[in-house]
Amino acid sequence: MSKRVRFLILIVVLVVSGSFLYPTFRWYFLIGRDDKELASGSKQQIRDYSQKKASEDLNILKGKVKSDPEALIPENMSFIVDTAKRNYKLAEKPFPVQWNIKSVLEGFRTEKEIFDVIESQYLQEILSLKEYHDNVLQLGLDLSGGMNVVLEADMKSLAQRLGHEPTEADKKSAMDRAMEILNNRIDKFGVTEPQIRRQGTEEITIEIPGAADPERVRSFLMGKGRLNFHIVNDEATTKLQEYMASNPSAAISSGDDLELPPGFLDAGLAVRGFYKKDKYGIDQRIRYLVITEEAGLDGNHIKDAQVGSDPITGQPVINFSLDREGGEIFFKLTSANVNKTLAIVLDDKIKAGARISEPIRDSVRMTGFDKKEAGDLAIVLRTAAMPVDLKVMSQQAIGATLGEDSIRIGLRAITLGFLLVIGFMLIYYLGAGINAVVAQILNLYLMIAVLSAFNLTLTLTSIAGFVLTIGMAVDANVIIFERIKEEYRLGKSIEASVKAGFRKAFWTIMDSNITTFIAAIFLSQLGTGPIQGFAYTLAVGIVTSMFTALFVSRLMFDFNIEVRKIKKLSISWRPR
Amino acid sequence: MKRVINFIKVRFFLITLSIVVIAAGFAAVFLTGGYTLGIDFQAGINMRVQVAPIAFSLQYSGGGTAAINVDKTGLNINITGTEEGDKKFAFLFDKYASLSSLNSELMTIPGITAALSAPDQLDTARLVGFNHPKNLGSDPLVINYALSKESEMNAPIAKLRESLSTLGIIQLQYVGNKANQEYMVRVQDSGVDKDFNVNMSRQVEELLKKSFGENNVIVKQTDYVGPRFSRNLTQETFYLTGFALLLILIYTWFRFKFAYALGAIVATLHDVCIMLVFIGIFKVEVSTATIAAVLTIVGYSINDTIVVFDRIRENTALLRDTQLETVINISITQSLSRTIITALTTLLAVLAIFIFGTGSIKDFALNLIVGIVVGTYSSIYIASPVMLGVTYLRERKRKMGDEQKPIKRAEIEENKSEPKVAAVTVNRNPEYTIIPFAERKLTGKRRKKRKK
Repeated sequence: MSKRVRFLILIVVLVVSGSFLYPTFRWYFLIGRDDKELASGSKQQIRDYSQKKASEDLNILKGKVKSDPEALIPENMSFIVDTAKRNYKLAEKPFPVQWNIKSVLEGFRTEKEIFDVIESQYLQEILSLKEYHDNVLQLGLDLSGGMNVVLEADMKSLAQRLGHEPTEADKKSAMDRAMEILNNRIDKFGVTEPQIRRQGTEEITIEIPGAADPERVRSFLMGKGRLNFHIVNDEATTKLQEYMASNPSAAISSGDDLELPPGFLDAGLAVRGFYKKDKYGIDQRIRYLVITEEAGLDGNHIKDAQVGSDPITGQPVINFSLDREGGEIFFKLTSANVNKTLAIVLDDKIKAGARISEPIRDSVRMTGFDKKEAGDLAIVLRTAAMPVDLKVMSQQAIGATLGEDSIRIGLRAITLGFLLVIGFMLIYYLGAGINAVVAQILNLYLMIAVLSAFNLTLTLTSIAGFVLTIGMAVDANVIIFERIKEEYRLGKSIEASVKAGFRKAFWTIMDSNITTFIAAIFLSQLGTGPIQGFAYTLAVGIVTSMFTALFVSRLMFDFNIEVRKIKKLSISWRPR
Repeated sequence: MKRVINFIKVRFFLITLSIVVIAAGFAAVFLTGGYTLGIDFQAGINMRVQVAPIAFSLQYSGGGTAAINVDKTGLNINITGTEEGDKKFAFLFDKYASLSSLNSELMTIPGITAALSAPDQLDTARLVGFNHPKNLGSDPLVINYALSKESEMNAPIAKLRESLSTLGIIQLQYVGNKANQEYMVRVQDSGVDKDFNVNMSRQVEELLKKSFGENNVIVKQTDYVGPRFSRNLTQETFYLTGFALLLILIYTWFRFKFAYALGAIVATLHDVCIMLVFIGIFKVEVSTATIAAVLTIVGYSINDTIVVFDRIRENTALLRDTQLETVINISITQSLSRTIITALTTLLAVLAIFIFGTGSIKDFALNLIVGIVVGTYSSIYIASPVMLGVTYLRERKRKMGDEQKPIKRAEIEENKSEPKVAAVTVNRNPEYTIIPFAERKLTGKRRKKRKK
């Protein structure tokens, strides 16, 4: 390969890693603390914030249009000009001479429209921050703390499920099972290195690295994760709607327990809310439906669940298959209720309804969830239901488990160690040392970039991986330089020495790195927690250090020889 | 031309030494009570404590009993058992936003005296009170408030650590907002004390009260919790490391020869064993960092050994007529500068961490220092001798298999998987061997190219 091609490859690699690294860099250095907190807030908080900000902005606009209608739109709200332009176009109105407050506002029909535009803008900003957060190199519980969640098991729900007062052994086995399921789920939701342990007898503590984001806890608790199928009673639903129309006050009373006159519903029927998600992902009750109280089919019969998307509408679809018994029940249920509506009820909320057009046996498609919800639900269905209901008792940010001083001092020590290595290389290898140093720094840069792209959580053990990688990267350089020196001392030309040095060192470096790489890959696949973190760092580090030692350092030598045409090889105090 | 150092000569002595050190070491470890498992692997208690200054104190001198309850929303006082009947006073923080307004309202209750110790304008939402309801009496009962600014903090985490330092290994984390001075204290249960739960929490509370004042420490919650990592993690590490070594064995077998592969694995196991002996004898706390250190050394040691082996392999091809022992000595000598420089640079980095680091980071560095020194030693004095021994053993076995046939070069050439060292050049005095230089013979395409 010519130098130019190699240089281009290097540039491409640097740019790509730069793009991996950018979110992490921005998150830790450019984004303000308030914004970060907001991004890890609950959906409710995000909604409150966006609506508050939007109404503030709207008031500013309204005030200005009275006092100074000719003024330009404030810089931070310039996005509404675009929407206004679009509205002008749609209404086939001629564009105004100037886009001032008055003319922009005339582009909207109602105040609500302006409010919606501003609100979605705020929402978008926060959502993109949230997304950012998912592509950032996280620091682990030991280095920067995270979130501590205490869950309490609701033993009443266990009693209900067992049908008798749970004994100590029942409680213990339910707790063990719940811990196991939690472990499983958290793993599948891609939270790195969480810690789950028993607290007291009826509580579980979960610690998750990273910002205290309640949404993440909710996602793996996923309510109780109880999914059932019920048949909707159309007649009673119509009756209920008529009643609600004549008694509007009943509809206002919030909560799922709609107050109805006694005897309004026949025995065996129950009222449940039908919920859709608003743009914040918060469940909003649309209306009430009356369903048969007894579940037509229990979600426990679901064998496997996969998320796909509808080929026509593109909506997320959950495909699941039922076990044999469930298939029989479902077949009977659907045969008996053709042309009725089947309600999909998750934790007592109706999430979707579907008309039964024909009897179904064991393979079912379910729609009515957004993409994330569908994915979460599929995981919950696959990981089985909790044996006991878990309630979130408290949820709080916690500091690092290693002392903060010890981390700060430790990081300083590691930096010092790195500088010492660099200094040594420069002193010992002189000119060639510069190559090694550049290779080292590039190696660190590439490593952090790739690890950010993996969204890895950095803990003390990953730092161990860094230390080993730095050692191995230095080693690769040392092997090459010692070889070049040997060749050079034999009286070869600079060019021939470098060439032979690299050629002979190549397989040595490959063999020693591949052996370690095999171990690293193996540990990263089978290891858990700290072992995995270490293995990932090491595996990535081996690849990047080989790249920098064999590719980048070589390019620098070639550049010195062919372009700068150096006469003497600066690699040792006693070159020959 | 360098003089070749005879590394191989001392092999029996050093291998025996290593075996003795490892065997005696493990015996000593188990005789002295095994390993000190770190806090992450032990069950223990979790205490939530808060260091909070006093907002005001209350006294009650009226009849009956007055009970006070402070929660997030407000302050409630219930007076019962008086002649005038039961009385309830509720002060919502929403309504009485500043401490002075709450205070003046409290003073209107007959029998209650309140003494402020905090600024008048303090936000009442910051009041904290726990383990309530409590009964008021003639002894002043204090109500505390949480600090909210980092600049006002009087009990930063480092101070807490200092005051609890007599308890041995503890873990301290802040909870919630740093400035609130709320902390989670974790103390491991060594299993000696039966009433550990009660005794330890009392001890922690007393120590904190001694440092921060009797009335300034609130214990919010005490729980007995399981270990952060199950002990399985250490077992898992062993199994996984074992399997990883097996994979490495297969790769090196494939790339080199069986004798090399075995040499590399034995050297690595040797290093891990010596590290474990070190950790056990010096009672270095076993934490996740220890696991990381062991894994790191596995990587380092394998890497170090393979580099030397690579040189041996290269030299056996070049110096076909030289005895394997000599080839090994030459190869180790040739790669010695690299071995030493790499060990030195890595040690330099790790030493910096050891000297300047604290806590488990320091322990981690200490483990690594031992591992690097041993790893370097083993790649010179353990790996190659084992490889040599295995080669000789296999040689002898093969020779015994067909005793009659003398080994001919041609045969060996044909059968590449067999060792090539059979052609013996007697070299009685390897110490004075001069490293012969031989250019690698060009084969195939490259030879043709050269001819042109």
